[in-house]
Formats: sequence, C-alpha cells, structure tokens
Amino acid sequence: MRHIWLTTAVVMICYSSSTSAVTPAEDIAATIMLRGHPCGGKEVTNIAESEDAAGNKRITATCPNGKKYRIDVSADGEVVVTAL
Amino acid sequence: MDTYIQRNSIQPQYVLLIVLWCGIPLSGLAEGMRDEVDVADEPTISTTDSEGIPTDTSDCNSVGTDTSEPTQLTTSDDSDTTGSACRSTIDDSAGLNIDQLIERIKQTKAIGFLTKLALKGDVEQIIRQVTEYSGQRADQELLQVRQQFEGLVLKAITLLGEKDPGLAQDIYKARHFVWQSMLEVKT
Repeated sequence: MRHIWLTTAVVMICYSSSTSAVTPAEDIAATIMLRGHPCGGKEVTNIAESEDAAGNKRITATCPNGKKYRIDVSADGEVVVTAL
Repeated sequence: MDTYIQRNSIQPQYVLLIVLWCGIPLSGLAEGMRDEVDVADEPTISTTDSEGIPTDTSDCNSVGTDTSEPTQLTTSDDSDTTGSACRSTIDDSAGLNIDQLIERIKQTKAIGFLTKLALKGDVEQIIRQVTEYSGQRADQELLQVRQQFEGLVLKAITLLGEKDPGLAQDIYKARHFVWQSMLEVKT
C-alpha cells in the first residue's frame, strides 16, 4: 500500500512537470531575451495585446527589471521587439 | 531485518514504472555519456582515408568555420565532396534527421509560440544571409554568419535546456549538419 502511494505521488509530480506548458508571460519574456534585450526574469507582467484588421499583433509588457517592451508580430510571422 | 528491508525498499518494477511514466530517456542519457567520453578521447590530429576524405568528424566541423585562416575556406566543389562524406558520418553517428528535429521543435512545450516564431525568423534571416553569400564576398562575412548561427543555437539550447533537455542535446549534436545544409541551400 505504501509503495502504491509513493509511486502515485512520484508519477503525478513527473507528469505535471513534463506536461506543463509555457505561460504567455514566460513566452513573452523568452522572446524579449531571445532578441537580446535584458528582462531580469522569466515572466513579464502588465501584458496588453491588440490586433489590427490586417492581423498584425501588438503586445506590450513589463519585465521584472521594470523595463517596458513592445512586441510587434506581423501577419506573416515577423517578430520585432522594441524597448519603450 | 531482511523482512524490514524488503518491506521498506522500492521494488524494481516500481522504479521501472516511474522511469517509463516520467519519460526519462535512458538510451539518450547513455548516449550522452558515451558522447562525453568520445569528445574527451577525440584525437586532435585529423585522419583521412585513401580518397582524402576525412574520417574524423572534427574535420567536418571545421568546414567553413576555421577562424584562424578564413582564406582557406573550401570551394563549393570541395565542400560538396567532403561535406557529403562528413554529413553522412554525422547523420549516421547521431541518428539525426532535420525534418524530425524541426517537427520536434514545433511540437515541444518547452518554448511558447511567440518564441518559436522569433526563432523561425532568426533562422530565416541566417538562411537569407547565407544565400546572399557568394564567392565575390569576403569569407569573413560567412564566418560572421556562422557565428550568428552558433549564437542562435546556443540561445535555443538555453531556452530548451530546462524543460526539454533531449531536444536541446539533439540540436547541439545536429548543429554542424544543419549548417552544412544551409550552405547547400546557397549552392
């Protein structure tokens, strides 16, 4: 009985860690850092999104270091990060 | 005492079950350890077979990357012969497939959609730069593009490292093969 509980606990921990998807806040922070901008952490806050009629998306977010960034995602998939 | 140990120790079948559920790639770990040993034991002097094709993959890795003497970059004809031999060696030894690798990057949950899009843009930019490269330009430019590519690979590995180490390891292994493929797109 003890083994069953132990196995179940380990399996649940492993399962949750292997299937945890990236949150939008982590995704945006990773994109900012990928483009060489300092962010100071793995998650951004104050995320605001807008999309125009042509399908171009504009995201603004604040990094843990206090810097604000704008991420423009064009309809054809081009990603541009601009420090505000 | 024996009974106590038997009662309190984890049975092998449970360990196996845990390993299977967690998806720990035992073969990948073993392969990684073997690679580390191989790298450590790798001879620094390259060897060639009777046709002059290097049998050591360290020569393949240096095609188009020799920063000490950029003027000694191989010509397209040379790189075709040597490159294909090296490519097959790397591809066979690592068991890698670029299409599968791309598909795995698309499917992985370790990085988000926006990050994947940004990575894709960076890769396309490097491919564009390699395509624009021609014999008239200085070889130094190709070396700079190669450095950008290596930097991008490192960034991707860093992003994947924590959540998808298997994919990160495979990208690291495949980087020379991917670079060779990019050079072939150029020609």
